[in-house]
Amino acid sequence: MLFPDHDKTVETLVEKDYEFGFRSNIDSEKFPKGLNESIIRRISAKKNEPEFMLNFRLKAFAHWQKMAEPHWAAFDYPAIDYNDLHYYASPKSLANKPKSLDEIDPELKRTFDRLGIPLIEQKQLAGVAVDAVFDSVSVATTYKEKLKKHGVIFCSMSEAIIEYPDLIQQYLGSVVPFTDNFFACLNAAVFTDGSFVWIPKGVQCPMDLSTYFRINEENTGQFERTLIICEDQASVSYLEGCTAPKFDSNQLHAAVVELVALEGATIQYSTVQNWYPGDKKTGKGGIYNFVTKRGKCLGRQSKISWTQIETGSAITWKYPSCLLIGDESVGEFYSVALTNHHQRADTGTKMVHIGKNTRSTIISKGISAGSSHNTYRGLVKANKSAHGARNYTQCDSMLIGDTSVANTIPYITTTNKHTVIEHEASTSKVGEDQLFYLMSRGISLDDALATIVSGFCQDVFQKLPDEFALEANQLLSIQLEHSVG
Amino acid sequence: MLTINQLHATITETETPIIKGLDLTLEPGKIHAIMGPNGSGKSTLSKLIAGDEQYTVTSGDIQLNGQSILEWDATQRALMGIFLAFQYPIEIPGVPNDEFLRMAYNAKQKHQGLEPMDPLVFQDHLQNVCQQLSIPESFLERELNVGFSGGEKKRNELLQLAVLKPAVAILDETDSGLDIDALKHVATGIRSLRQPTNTFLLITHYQRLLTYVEPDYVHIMMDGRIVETGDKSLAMALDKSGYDGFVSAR
Amino acid sequence: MTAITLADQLLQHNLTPPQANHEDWCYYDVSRVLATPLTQAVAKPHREVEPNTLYFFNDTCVWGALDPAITVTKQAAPPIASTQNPFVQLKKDVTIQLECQQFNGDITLIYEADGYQSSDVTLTGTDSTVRVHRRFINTQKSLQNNQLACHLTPGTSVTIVDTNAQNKGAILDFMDVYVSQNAVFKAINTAVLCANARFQSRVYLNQETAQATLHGLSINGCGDQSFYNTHVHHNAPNTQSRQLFKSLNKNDSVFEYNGKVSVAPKAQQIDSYQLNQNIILDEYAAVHSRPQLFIEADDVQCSHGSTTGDIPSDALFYLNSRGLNPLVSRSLLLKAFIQDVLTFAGDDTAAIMDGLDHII
Repeated sequence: MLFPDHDKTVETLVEKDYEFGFRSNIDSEKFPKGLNESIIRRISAKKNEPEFMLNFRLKAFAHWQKMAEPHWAAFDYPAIDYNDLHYYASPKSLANKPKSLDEIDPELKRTFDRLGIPLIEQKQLAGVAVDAVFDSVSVATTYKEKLKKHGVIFCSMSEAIIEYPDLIQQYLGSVVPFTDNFFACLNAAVFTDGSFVWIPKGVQCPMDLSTYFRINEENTGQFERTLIICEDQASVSYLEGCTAPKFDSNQLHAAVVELVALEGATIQYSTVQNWYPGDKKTGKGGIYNFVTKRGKCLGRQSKISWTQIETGSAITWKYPSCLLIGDESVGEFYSVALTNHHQRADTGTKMVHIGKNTRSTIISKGISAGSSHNTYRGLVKANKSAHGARNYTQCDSMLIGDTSVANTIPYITTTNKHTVIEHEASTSKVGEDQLFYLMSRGISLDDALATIVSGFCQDVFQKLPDEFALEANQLLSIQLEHSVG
Repeated sequence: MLTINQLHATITETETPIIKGLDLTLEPGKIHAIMGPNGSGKSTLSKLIAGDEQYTVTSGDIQLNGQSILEWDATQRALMGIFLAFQYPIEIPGVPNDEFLRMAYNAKQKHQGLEPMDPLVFQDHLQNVCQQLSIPESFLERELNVGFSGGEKKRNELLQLAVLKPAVAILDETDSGLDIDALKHVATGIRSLRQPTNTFLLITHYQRLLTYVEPDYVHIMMDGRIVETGDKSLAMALDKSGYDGFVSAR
Repeated sequence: MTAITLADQLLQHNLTPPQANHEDWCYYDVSRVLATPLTQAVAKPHREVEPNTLYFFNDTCVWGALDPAITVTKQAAPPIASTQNPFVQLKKDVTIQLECQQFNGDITLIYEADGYQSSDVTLTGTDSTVRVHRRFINTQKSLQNNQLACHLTPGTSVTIVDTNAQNKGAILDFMDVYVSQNAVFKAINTAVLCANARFQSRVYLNQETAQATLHGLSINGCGDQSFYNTHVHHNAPNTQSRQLFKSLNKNDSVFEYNGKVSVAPKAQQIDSYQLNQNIILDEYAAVHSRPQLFIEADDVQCSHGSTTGDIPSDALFYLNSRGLNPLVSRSLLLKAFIQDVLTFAGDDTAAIMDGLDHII
């Protein structure tokens, strides 16, 4: 054959499928379906939680029952029956938490191996410590001991509630109170695990920390909670990844992430979100990703930087935000959201300027292909106290094909003269001329498209930690295959 | 090498005929020049050869070494050795020039069953090519054609040509918009890339470039056809008489 | 007997006022308007009305001599049907049909209120080039609630120039514009030192090569509130829209620009641009800027920009360093800032510049 791997001559080649759609056969202990006070008490008891935690959950649940599900985003989804979900699912082998990595069920290890997250420290990506969360529980946290030597606490949330109750009482819900929104409130009532990070004064965390979320069971909601606290002059880079098997039913993922940065502290939080997006043709199944992520820049000159690559999920509602309270604090949001087929993404950020001379930067790149909808929704607010606040926002949308939708919905509110707020947005398509130019240099159609899209996202990719940047690029090319032609 | 036979072609969208029975043969080791007034179809011809789907061949054939290329898309034609230096090179933001060149180079290597070139070795190779063409190495780090001046874009096309070493190189108005120094650079580049195994097709409106690169053949194109073929003296004559004069003389 | 309010009147017609969580009204204090008493003063003796001028006073309308190419007719108002826009739906006794057939010239609409003024006008332009001046006079704390629908047949050009200065009451204005092939619609609205003004425009570019330009300039003195709410619908290919809205804001004022651009599926080759720029003059003023894009076609060029802040200090410094005192420099820069909004304001420019001097 003259052109052995040329796409146009192999149109019969099956479209590349969602790579992580397999389900592991692991015996699991599930609570019965349903949401009520007794389920919440059972979750709390299961985890041997102190009383303050149970009270926190019950208060949240009482509040949640009075709340209405939001339907303000620009699209509908079938009603979720909150009583038709399992709120706790855990591999049986984890009934007694394994003491060391060697004791973990080999099938679980194999699962994470297939996901590219080996739970053996020697095999780890150099210098990244991982907390692996499987359905409702944390399976293992690597490099705990090494980190401890530097005074860094990195463990599952369940463990932190028992081991560090003071820190938990002080900070849990301090950034995202349970009254914040419907899904955050639900999370506060039923969260099962997640990661906890505490970096003490003056410590630069010696390695990147990472949590990997895997939903395995059908009809199970995943409600994890992450809390990261950086004390004065400390810093950490944190990575989050996620996948789920293919099911025809929709699964709910309602996580809460809280970040606290004290004086001079820096937190970089990167996400590569690759939840199962649902069936390509029918749109059936997939994850509802309704996540609340927020950081508080409490201290002077603190900095929180969100970087996200969103390629998965059937529906995403997600607005990683920064409350810039400390003077001269800095908030950043760099986002690439790619939707294809029937996906719906509504994502953006909120930058609330409260302290003096606070700065924020927002760079958002939305790419919509197929019949997908991609919305940037963001708030920039400068309060009266925010003298010298400065924001720069750039939102670029790219449309591929004429059945996709791109929306840009910024909210900009300023109440102080001494601020400078700039917002720019543009919409473009992948130019036929650009594709032709690259193809006329011998690059295939799919590669040409991936190259143009990757170039479009370059400003954001540059902000990602190295190993993630590569992964992000590959994810984009896989998602986009055969989107033009 | 490249043979065009009774070619008829239209603009795909409007079905307007542009090429109306064109014959042309490009010989290995030779430099061909096509001259013609605005609207004669010169640029269309170059894009047709490169495989731009904005134009449709309605009859006739284009053959590369005896094989019809009409069924191939732009990528396939490039892999088989056809190269078009664009009149207006396209800007592609965010894509570094050197990475793009390596992608294109390795696509060709792979097509020929060869190993991809190691990034470091390729970088050295690029630097050598830049030196040969006296192109500043800073070109390599910049985004593909983004923010390049007109002259820089044309020289970047030449850089790609030198790296990809095509069998058939078509240069569409590479001389337009260049000042005299830039023109000399481009001409030197073309001369240095000439090989007994490749062929050049220079498309130009003016005779200016042809004083620096002497063509073996000059073809006059009018209203979608080659109406006359001769040597470089034809270009000089044309430059004196102008296209109008040429028409009335006929 | 307590005076009837707008809220009462809405209730009478089973109309629900816009809710505070409605995103088109979220910064607007609807309750303030709803509480306005609608008692009308004794009808004012009609002033002499100029030619080609329609004069609205409270719920009456009279007009002067008309060019033969213009016809004005009064029609009974249609029954109240939908609640999509309760203020527009509010019963108006008559609707005015204003038709221009091969008319090239100016028309003036004067809206004056003493208590409550409302109107419903439909302007149809055929083969015409019309310039419509609208003057809003609201020196008492009155309420004005006006609706203007414009239908532009192919090739027609309509330019609307609104002046609205030093008004004490509340102005609610609703404009619906339907633009067909090769027709050009332009509008400029200025709200200079007005207590409460809300201008809403919905523009439908329904046929190829239709064009719309919307400009707005708001100069808000202490405590003033002004709101621009625009939505341009690109429903056909090859249509073009431009929006430029600027504001200058003093203490405790509120300004909102809520501008939407929608591109319908298959409406390719769209060219659309929105720009909103705001300057806060005193320490505290609230500026809400919301340029929004909703795009369902891929071959489009749509972009928007928004900036809010103070006068650039480097520009100020530059002028100062050339010997201009700070006051002169500021005034110069502010005038420069608003210049491009006023490109087609014509004779009204001078009045606007006066207003500007007033606040500096």
